[in-house]
Amino acid sequence: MFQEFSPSSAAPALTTHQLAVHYGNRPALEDISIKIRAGEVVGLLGPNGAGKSTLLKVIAGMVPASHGSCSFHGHEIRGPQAGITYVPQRAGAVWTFPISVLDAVLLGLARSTPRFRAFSGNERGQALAALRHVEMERYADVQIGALSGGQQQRVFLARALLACGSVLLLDEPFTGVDVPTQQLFVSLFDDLKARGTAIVYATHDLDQARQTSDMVMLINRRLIASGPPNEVFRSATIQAAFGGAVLVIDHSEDREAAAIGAREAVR
Amino acid sequence: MSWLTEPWSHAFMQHAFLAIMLVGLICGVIGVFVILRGLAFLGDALAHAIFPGVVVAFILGGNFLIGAVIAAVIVSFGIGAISQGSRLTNDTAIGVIFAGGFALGVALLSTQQSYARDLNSFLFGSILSVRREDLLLTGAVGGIVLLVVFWFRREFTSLSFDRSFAQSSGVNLWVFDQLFLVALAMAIVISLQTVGNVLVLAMLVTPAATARMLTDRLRTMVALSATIGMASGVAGLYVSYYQGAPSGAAVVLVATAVFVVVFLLAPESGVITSRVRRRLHHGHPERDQFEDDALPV
Repeated sequence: MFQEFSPSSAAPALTTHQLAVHYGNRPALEDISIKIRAGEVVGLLGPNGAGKSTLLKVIAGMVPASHGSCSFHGHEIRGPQAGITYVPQRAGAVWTFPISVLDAVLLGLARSTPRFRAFSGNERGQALAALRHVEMERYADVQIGALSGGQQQRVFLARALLACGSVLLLDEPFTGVDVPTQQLFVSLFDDLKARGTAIVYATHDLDQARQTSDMVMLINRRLIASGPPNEVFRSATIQAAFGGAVLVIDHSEDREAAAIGAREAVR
Repeated sequence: MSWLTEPWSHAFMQHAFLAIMLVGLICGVIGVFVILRGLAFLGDALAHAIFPGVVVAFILGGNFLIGAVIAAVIVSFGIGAISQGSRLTNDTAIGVIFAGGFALGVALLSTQQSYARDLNSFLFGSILSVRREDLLLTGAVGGIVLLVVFWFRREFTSLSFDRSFAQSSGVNLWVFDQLFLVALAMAIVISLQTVGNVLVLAMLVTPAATARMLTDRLRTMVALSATIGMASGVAGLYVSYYQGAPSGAAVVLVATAVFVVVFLLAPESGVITSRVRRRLHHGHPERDQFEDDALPV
């Protein structure tokens, strides 16, 4: 199911160097230089409009960089790459579309299956296996719009597992999904990480990011801070990323891991 | 049963039946993607906006199909340019180009002596004047449209369902949007002679909408839509033959009647059927227990 990928500690899987993206005249990202290694789980945090989705789309080869570079195993990314799989936000899909859960997952193989033939039994088997990984096998024949939000997100993840890249990019996978789905994703992240897959996901949930990520990156158009969650999640950096007044509440007894509540001050 | 075979004894009716079946098939298939992508307005606009291209080809004595495809490409570029480069939304851009293009077509056509007759046949079709050569051209162009839809079915499905994922998996959205528009324009052009400019939208939208209410599977929807399109066409021609109604209108009215029946009586989604089912369910809630169980948390 998963592609084996030998993690090489030396060469990063993804590198961006002084990356900038502009939409028209408006800068969306400026001067972003990051390195992400194979088998690393990276949480991307920042306020709305900070450029999280844009950064994921640049890495996915969907949005061109206006300055700087972005490379995948040393090769500059100029368009979508077979080894990079992107899981978009759920809101962008047409959920009334007449497609079964299984057929939606099979779209993960759409580009690699010869177009003159239908999907084979083997390919359908792979799609069912991907659905089993996200505990959705029994919904294979259900129309996709009949699913709950969490289940739809699971189907998206199954489609990405089938496409089988060594880098997995997820745009807000935890938004609006139930706790069992969140837990399932966290355990899947662990499996993928053990196989050397680099995972980069955007989130608004600082606590989730702290629990799930090896590295977090705080961005607000520019890179504010990056590193292990406990180093990055300090009031000053959070304030720099989100603006306003920030209250960091340390719930932990050993004070190593902190759950953080950030609150914007009334201006 | 002679009333069934009688119309087929005339060569012009044989041509008309074949033409309307081809149009029903081709518009039925591509219409599925038109309604799933919410492009009904664009379909209507395209039918009107390619009008000047058809007229110019007509005046110059060239192939009207080539004129229409050139116009379709200009129109789709125009819509893209207006909606990307300004504060206007896509449907506003479509509205502007749609009306402007159609007016240009009318103005160009008015320079011709046979203006009134030509305009009428452009607007409402002239199915009884379909010749053998027209059928061959319709078949050839329709075949190309069907081949394009079949060959790129996964790309069209993927980008209709989830554009971002399609793009990230290597589907060039711009290329496939343009390809779809050109295929749609070709389907519209070969329908002009049979149902005309004004009613072609019904052939694109109504059978596909009817099919959508009957199934949750894309393949079945395409098959149903094509079947409903062809059957409505044939039935409409019979109505036209025996009642003397204009053929385009008769075909569209039959398709609309099928839509209304399905809207009311579709097994799953029909307005009356679901009301009856709710009433039955009210007395016996245990009957739906399995459904509740099978559906998501």
